[in-house]
Amino acid sequence: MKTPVVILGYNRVGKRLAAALQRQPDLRVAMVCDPDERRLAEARQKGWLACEAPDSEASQADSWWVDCRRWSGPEEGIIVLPAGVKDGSPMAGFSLLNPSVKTQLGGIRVCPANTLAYARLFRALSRIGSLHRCQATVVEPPSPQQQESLDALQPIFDRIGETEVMKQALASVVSDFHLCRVAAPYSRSRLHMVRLEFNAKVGGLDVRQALEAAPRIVLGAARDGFTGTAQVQEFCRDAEGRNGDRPELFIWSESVVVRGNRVHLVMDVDPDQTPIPETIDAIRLSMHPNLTLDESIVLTDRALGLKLDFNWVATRRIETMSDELQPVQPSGVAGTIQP
Amino acid sequence: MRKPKIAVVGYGVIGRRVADAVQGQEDMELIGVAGRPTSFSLRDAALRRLPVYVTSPPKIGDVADRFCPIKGTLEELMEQVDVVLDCTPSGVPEKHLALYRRRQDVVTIVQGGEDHEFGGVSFNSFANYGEVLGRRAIRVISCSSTGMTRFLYTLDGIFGVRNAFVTLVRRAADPGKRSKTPINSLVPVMGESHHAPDVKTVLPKLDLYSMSADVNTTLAHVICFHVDLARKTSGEEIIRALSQMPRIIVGEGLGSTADLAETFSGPGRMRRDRPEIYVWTEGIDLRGQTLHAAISVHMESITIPETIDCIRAALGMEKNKWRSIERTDRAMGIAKRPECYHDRLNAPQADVPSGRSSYLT
Repeated sequence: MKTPVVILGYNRVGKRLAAALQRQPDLRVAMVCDPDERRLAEARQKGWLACEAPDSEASQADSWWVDCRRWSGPEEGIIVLPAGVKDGSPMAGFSLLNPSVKTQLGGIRVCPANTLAYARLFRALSRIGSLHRCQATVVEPPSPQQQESLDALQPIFDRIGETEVMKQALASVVSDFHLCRVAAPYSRSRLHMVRLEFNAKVGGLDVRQALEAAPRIVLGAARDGFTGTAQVQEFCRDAEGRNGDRPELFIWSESVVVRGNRVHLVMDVDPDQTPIPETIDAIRLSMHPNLTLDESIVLTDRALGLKLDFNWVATRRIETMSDELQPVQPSGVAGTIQP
Repeated sequence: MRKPKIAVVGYGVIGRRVADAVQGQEDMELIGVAGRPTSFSLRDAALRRLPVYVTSPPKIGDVADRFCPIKGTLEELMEQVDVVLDCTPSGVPEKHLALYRRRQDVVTIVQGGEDHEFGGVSFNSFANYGEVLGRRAIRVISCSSTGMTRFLYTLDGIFGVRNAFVTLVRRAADPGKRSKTPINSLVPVMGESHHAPDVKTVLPKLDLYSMSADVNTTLAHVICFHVDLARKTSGEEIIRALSQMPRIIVGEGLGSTADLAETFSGPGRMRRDRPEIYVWTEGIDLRGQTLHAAISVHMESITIPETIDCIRAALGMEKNKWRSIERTDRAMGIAKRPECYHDRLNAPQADVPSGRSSYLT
């Protein structure tokens, strides 16, 4: 029997979550709630049971609630309330770095997209060495509160709270984290230029293989046509079943440069899509205490078909390109991830 | 003393600014500008009553034919000059090189679009003023590299820089070059961007890495620094050090490159230029000995004062770099308080090695 999930908020994130939940073998959308009539109509058109607000507390007793409405501010994130847990209960943050939500009694706050992106990256690379520092700059759209010119760059200094929350969420792996933010007239993703520091030297091949093998991270190449974020987005729009969405991090393989103990790379994050797989993991892990995070990742990613399109690109590249790519072993197809 | 005769080849974004700057100096003379006969920039030069030369004979209907009284060809211009400032697009100066080399006594100065190998020496006023004396082919480092060098040179001299990670969010094109601008896309440079190697041509001892992405704006670059300093300091001390440096403005409250463009559009700011780098005070964030900071670079005008200094340095017109810098800045209307220059006059002129105490301490 599939576990029923009620989605609160049927906007950018909510509608993507509903579609992703429907593809899971053990979850189903019981209802979507939104005060906006137009969005409700859209939900009904998709076949969801939709209403303005959840009917009563009783429905929360036997279903999981996912609140996608708190999607701004320093505490932003998707809130998952397991059956029987009331809103206002203590919240545990969730990313791939802290999968302990199954032992929590309260709700779960799935971290925002940028935090989840770094959590995936740190998780992948901490398998080859001990990380201690990360410095990065992100280019992102202005927040709704900012009024910005169409032709301007704006360094952001007043979102320290948000960065601090992010820092805390990542502190279990990287103790020294700093993110500079620059707002740009650009709406579709967040581009991060990243330097990571390990405690000891790391090999370029190890880094590359760790990223290739990691779930929800795609290594793509500018020489394969992905010269900018627009080309990545166009590829996803064209890929069957994706409808333009990309829950994976996109890392340009040519940008990965290793110098001693320092790794540099450029990654692109889809803010609306990135939290979807982790939200499904959070629901599933709180539902099945015996399931490991790795097992949940396999289930989620297999159902969503993550990395498959891009792995076709990687495989094809290795087949057709020169010797320089020979040492790289394509792996990390969702179905092959080893728990 | 005879004033050196200067020619500007290429009257585009950089060339027209350099021509103005040369005209503003008392110790050098602009004798002509040269360009392609089809270029509308020649019309602009003619409107400013500059002597116009062409790189090839104009055809009927060319811009040069329609709008400009032509004084002669580039070859004829070259016979009269001491210094040629080639401000043509990347790769073009190489094509002019054979012509320039016909005269062994002419100094050729090119912009950062060319490789360091063009003359085997690159230039920045702060970092290596003394290195270009007597050189015949010199490259002024690029706009972002100039901004990075001013900032890192100041920090290195006073606090020592152990290493720096620099990320550049770059305007994709100058305002007049729409074809290069990506629309609603971010275009990262793969691997290390050219900026760190460029800065190292003038500050070779710095441990530096840079990454860059192009963004669909045209006003200015924003450059973020993560710098490990060699000694403990405070945010106030850093702000003070930067504030006392020529060609660096430390400001507060201007939120974006659009605000900067508006603020620096008043009288004395021809073309809304800002040859100084702008450091956001509110962005100075010191964590232990690691400094995080953001600056803005106006890519069209930042290398102009360095180009003027380069003329003096190459010809030996002024041995002390701070005197040249002050002279240039006063003529361009960007001078700071006199002590920002005079306090440095007796400092050693050699480059300050990385991590060593500076002329200021």
